[in-house]
Amino acid sequence: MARFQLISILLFAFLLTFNFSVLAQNEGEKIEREVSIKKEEFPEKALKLASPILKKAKKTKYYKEISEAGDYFEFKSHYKGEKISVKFNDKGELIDIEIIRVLSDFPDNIQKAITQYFKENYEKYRLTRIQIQYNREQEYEDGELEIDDDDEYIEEFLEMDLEDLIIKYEIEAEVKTKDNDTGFFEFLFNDKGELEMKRIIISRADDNVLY
Amino acid sequence: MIMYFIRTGSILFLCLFTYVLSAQNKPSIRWEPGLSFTKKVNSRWAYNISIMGRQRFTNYGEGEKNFKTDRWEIKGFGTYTLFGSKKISLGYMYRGYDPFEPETGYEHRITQQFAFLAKYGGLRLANKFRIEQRIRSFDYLTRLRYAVSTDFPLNGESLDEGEFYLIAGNELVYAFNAVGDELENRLSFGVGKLFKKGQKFQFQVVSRNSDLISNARDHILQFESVYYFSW
Repeated sequence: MARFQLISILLFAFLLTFNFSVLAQNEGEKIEREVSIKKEEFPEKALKLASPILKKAKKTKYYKEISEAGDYFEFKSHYKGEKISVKFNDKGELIDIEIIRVLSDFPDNIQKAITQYFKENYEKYRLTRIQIQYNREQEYEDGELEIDDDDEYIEEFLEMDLEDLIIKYEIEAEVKTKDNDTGFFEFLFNDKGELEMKRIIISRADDNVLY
Repeated sequence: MIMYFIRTGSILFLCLFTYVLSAQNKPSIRWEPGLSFTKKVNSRWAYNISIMGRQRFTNYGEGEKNFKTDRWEIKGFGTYTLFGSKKISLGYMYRGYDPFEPETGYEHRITQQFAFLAKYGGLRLANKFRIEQRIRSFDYLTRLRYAVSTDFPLNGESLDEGEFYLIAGNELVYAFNAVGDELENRLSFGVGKLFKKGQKFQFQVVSRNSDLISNARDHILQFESVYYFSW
């Protein structure tokens, strides 16, 4: 009987210590919900726009991404031997095009800038996913902001017209800070290799595989 | 890749059931329900406590009925995360045998664990090494365990609220003491659902084949259902 009482007290103490409060979401968390969808559910305008890519693509999968910023549609494919993902908003307008790469594919100055950033800011780091991001050109001409339309944007990508595309580098990495904290983050670097954005990646709970 | 695992897993599961139903010696059927609570204190430390029970339905061999609660247990683990998704844990378990029988037993178990996790898109692979010291009311036993398991969401690369996931794994368990040794294989296949952030339910079937290095074979088919809370 005394044994059961001891266990009950221990369990109660545990539940008290670890109250069930939901973790407050940190600023800069990567919160997205991704669901597989059928091709028919994908915006028609987006399919038409991306048809030059889709014609040559293999193993294409279609997803709907639900995030705080709104709903997005994305397809992921093998295109010309590379893993590509193309993202659209719910109106079927092109948001960005990403291709999975390795760091050594990038220009020397970018590799150096990114490596330097991690070395300067972290005790240890491990790059887990590297993508090059092709964004639509936006520039001021005669004092007015000119933004490429979807057709120009996709054409520039197909022709690999790098002068008319804005290149960014998206990197997922595990890092160890100088304060001995560890975590997974997503980093976005601009075309000069300067950090533009950083957000934490919330990993799936591993209690079911650990204990 | 994921469809390949689903197909392969389903085929393996069907083969296992066909084998079990047609086998001369019927497996012992058991069910283990449980609750698991995990608190992540910071980026390094996490604590887990779980409570489980085991209900036996039949015995191995003729398959005669043996309806009894043959154990209950409470476990606690402290886990420290190393860089590179590696984790070391130290655990303690108290187990009570045959709680409703006239003669009961107990076990104190100390566990040292090293695990490393790898991610391939939505698929997660976990490797787990364990050393256990089992101090039981009737003997002492050391166990060495190695488990590999994988789980992946059925929709997209991330496991989101309301989504199902599959889990499959295999574990080798080698036990020894001054009297003898024993090798056991545990093959598992299951399904889970993330109800909301930090709460999921998992149901799996485990096929345990024990005493592989002797002639005293034993086969257990165990159904496990666990509700996980993590925060």
